[in-house]
Amino acid sequence: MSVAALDRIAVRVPGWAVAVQLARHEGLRMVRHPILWVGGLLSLALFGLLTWQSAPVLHRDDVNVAGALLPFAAATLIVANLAASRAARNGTDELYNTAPASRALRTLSQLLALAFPVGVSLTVAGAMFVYMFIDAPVGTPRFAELAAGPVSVALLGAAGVTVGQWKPHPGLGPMAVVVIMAFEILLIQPVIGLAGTNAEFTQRIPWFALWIPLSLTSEVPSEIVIRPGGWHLLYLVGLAVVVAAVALARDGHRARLVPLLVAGAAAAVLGSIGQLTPASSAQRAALASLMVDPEHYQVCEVRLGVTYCAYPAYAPWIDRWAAPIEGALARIPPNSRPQRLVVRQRFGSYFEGPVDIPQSTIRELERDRRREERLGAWPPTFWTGTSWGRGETEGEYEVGLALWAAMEAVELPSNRRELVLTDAETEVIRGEMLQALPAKQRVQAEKGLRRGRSYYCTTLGQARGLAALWIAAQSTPETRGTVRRVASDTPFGVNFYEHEGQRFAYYEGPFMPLYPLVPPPMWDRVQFVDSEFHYAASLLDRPADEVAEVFAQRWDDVLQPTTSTAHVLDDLGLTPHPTIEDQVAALPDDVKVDRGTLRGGTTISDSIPCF
Amino acid sequence: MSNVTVERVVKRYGSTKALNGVSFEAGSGITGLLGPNGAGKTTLLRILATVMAPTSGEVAILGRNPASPRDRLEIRRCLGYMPQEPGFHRNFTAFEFVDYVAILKEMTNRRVRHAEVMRVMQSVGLRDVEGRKIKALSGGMRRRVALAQALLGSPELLILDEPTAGLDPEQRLRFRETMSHLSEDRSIVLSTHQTEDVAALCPRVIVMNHGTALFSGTPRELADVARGAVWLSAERASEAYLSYRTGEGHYRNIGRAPANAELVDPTVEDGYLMLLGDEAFVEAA
Repeated sequence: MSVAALDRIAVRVPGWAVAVQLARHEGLRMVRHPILWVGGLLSLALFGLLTWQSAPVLHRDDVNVAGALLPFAAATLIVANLAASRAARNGTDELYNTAPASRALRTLSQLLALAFPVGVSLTVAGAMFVYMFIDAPVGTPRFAELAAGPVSVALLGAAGVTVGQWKPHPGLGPMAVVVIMAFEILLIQPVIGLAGTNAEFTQRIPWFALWIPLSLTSEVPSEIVIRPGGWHLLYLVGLAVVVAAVALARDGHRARLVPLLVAGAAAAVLGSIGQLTPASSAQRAALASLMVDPEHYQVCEVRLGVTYCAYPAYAPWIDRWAAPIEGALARIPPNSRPQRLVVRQRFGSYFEGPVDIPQSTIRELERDRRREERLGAWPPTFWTGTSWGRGETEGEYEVGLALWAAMEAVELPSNRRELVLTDAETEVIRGEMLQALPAKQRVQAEKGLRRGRSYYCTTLGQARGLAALWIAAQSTPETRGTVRRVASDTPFGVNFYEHEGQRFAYYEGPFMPLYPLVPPPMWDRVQFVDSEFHYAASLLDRPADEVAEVFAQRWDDVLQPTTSTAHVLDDLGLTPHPTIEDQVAALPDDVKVDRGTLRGGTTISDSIPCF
Repeated sequence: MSNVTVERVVKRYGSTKALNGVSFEAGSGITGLLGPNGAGKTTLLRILATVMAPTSGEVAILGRNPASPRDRLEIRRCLGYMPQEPGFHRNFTAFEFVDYVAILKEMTNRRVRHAEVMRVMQSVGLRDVEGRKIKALSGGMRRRVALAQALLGSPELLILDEPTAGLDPEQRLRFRETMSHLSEDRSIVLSTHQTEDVAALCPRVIVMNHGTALFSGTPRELADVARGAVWLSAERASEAYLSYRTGEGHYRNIGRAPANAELVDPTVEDGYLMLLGDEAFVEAA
């Protein structure tokens, strides 16, 4: 034997150094694989889908970050599986088996190589955070929730290596993904199926999945759900260790793997026990208190006479709430500005997902809130939730708040009780107000009047409806953009469509769609109408000071329910919308017009004019 | 001193005996294994490369016993192996593949390893295609990639299973040049169907058939097996084991020469054919 050969034998290279170099080689190949890129893009797209319409809330979106990484984790499984089965599939095993680096070392390196996709997942998660941080997030992310994403990537990657080692077939990776995802969907199904229930143990079963959403169907504030994120993380880490040990067991040395296997299994079992343990009654009581007595926990701030109260984590949102309200109040004559307005944050009381609030508390809350809807709150209160819009949808949220302030200013009903009419009010409505309505609506409104109440009232034909809509529409740049967009997207009046070569007329309206502009708290009170909405949108093209001046000069008159929109159009420089007859006359000759169109559409509402 | 010692090695696959008591020794320089398909050459080389263990018999490689895990590891540290069908990762570049094997050979310093990969790629004439994916390389180029990985680290023992298969004449000449340089300070055991390669490269040749070593000696000695049994004639000789017309227009015959035959000097190929042919005659008798 030559001296060189003897030297080579004498200078031993440690196994870990070989494993690290192999892992680097494998890892770089993994992160260059197109499937991993597709997974990363899908993850970013999913995160965008989950969050693009919501202002960032870090203690809610941390759950979304972990969930959005699932496609990336699935891609990692496939890529790791291809890497692990490569030697067997390509017939290089014979050659590799004659090298000093053992097969076990190669398997270990494939597991270590998962650090690369895990690193990429951290980068992807970082990109998600950047996306959140560019829009002033609130709250604090939870480490355990965030870490669940990258740990899931490691776990599924280890599963890919294990499958590749034991059954080297390229089709098994995608099959494993399908099985794991089916298992995931099956497990988180109770998040939908047990809507609003408090079945303590069944509610915890989904925690055996990789990722558990707050809710799949509606928003559940993360504040009222106790998530055993730390235990779940331990469970995932334990599973990853067990799966990795199974991969290594393929190459022998099984006795040496026993401690690893036992440690992993212990962590998984401990994590399972922890995540299955229901919230204690003390924890649940604390959450209930948070929900029932928000004023004990919230921070409040008074601005221009309006009180804003938010849970501490959401305090920065007071700026978001104040902007549209201040923009609206600025256009209301100082003496007519509503007093003692309150904007208060609270959690909803209906959840399509498990929460840790006792059912009795929720039932009690619902009773209180129904009573409040009927009687109204004093001082006038706008209840805002734990979500806020982002981008285009931010304008919608702002219109809602500004419209509420404007409605208070123009004295539109603020609760169900105000929709019950006195005899004197009924008489006034029967007079000139009913006559101002289109024939069809007049007939329907009379039905409501006979009962002396209605579910809704409508601002149809009332100048104050127009005033409220314009005040809300102009309050911020976002509200202006939103109102213009909605106005252009929702044509009203007589239009026509083509069907099988024939053209037919139809009437769009008269009521403005509640969503997206009118917030849920006002859905059961006032119906605004298309015509006033489009007048308000048109007024955005005029200098706001001039329009505000016109309303200010005639403010007392505008407040009167009997003052019609037509009465103020001239002063506002607006041209009345053509009558239905004129609109029909302007249609092309070949358009067929039915009687429903001529009557102003077939939409029926027995709402009475707001008084 | 012999670097490879094989004594009475038997290898069974079920009821089939792939090797049947093979014995030989190989020292420095090139030892060529000649033999028809199914002779047991690949099985023998796989045993020498520590891919598999013999059913019985003794093997010592570089003074170590491959049956011992510790020794086996040390042998692998001094071994370069080119399998008959090495298998490739088609999406690896030539460089990546050789680099990957280099890591498996415990070359952990990246800079040094890359320099070594470049060196072996250069030595097999693949520097200009190192960045090309293996799936885009010709069969001959792939064989050279397989050879390059075997040369990594200048191993003390090179085991090459049909290294010249698929190479064009120029590549074969270059291969011979490379091998002759390498053989100066190491042992090379290679199998081949090409008697010219053996004649040109190997100071020692072993002819195998049916799992046994029929011959062990120098190429000259192998050629001498046919001495007195190769002659030229104007017509095809019916008594010859093999008779073919040469480019010069006469027939070259191998077999039991008639008394008045015009004998010529035998080649390694003649000796090889005579060796296998003799056995055939015996079997026929």
